[in-house]
Amino acid sequence: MKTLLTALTLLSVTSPAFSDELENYTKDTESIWRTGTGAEDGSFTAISTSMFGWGIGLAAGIAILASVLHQSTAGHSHTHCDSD
Amino acid sequence: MTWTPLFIAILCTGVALPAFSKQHTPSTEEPLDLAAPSQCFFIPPQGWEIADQSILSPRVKIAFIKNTGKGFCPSLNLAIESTQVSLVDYLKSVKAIHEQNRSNHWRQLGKVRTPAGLAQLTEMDSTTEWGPIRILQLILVKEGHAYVLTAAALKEEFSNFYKEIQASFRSLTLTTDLLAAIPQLERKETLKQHQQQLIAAAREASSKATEPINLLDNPLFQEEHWLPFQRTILNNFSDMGAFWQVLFLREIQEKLIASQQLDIPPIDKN
Repeated sequence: MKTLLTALTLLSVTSPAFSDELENYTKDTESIWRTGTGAEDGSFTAISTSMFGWGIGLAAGIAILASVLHQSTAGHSHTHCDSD
Repeated sequence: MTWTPLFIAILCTGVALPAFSKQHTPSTEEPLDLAAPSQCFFIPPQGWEIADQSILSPRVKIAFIKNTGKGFCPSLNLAIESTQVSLVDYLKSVKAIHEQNRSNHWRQLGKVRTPAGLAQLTEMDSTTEWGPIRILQLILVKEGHAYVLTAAALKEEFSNFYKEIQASFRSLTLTTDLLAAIPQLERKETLKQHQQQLIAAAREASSKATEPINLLDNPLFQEEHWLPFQRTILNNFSDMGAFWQVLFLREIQEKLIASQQLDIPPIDKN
């Protein structure tokens, strides 16, 4: 009984720390696994833009892109199958 | 007594598992952290157009394209990724990702000095249905973010655009104040005054309105104040590049919206 109480006390003290450690470990693992996706997205977009993209005149393009209202209501960019 | 360790193990598992499972939700459900603390921009080559936004990948902020009238046009884009790793580790990941495709040949070139800091230049040759292509990437890892400028063109044509691309790469800038990025003091001060006049006009229009209005949707405000301001940015600050112009105009719009919503004195006294 004494052992059990000691274990429970220890558990209540160490559990949050263990949980935090596990959380950090998970974040680190995911961070490493996902690292490089910016470069991957950049390459993918460069090829797709060069192949299929079309340009818009700077004045019109700037006005459209600068519009906060447009940004908040317009559809967001496409996701390619390897993005995440 | 022999049951005690088992009991403790079960208790530990019971406590730890919920935390474990909570942290192992699929990463794809997490919102992508695309916002960088500093504003990052570069100056695209003269005559390049803003590319269709609908085909950009998630982390790509903006893309430019040189319309050559041929199949595979040169393009340039900026991607931003949140990361905690060093440049060396980031490059290892990039190499691994790009070399998954055996037809890609990836290599590191030299370092490039930019206003944002020292960045690494990389090169990748690949093949497409339009023939062999070359991709150059300039990678800067700073303040928990990887900033990746990517240029692509047909391999045989790459040398025609190399100087322009190199100049764009060298213009990569990180700043917390877009106004401060303007090199000439006089132009900076003039624009600051324009900005203050615009915000003052917005305050006046808001105070006159009988009910809350969205000034950016208001035809009168657009005609009298916003469009002239936008024209000033477009005509007088083209040397700062289209990306800077987009970011600056967007920032001002956000300030206008915030000043209306929060009802705080919006004029920057600095």
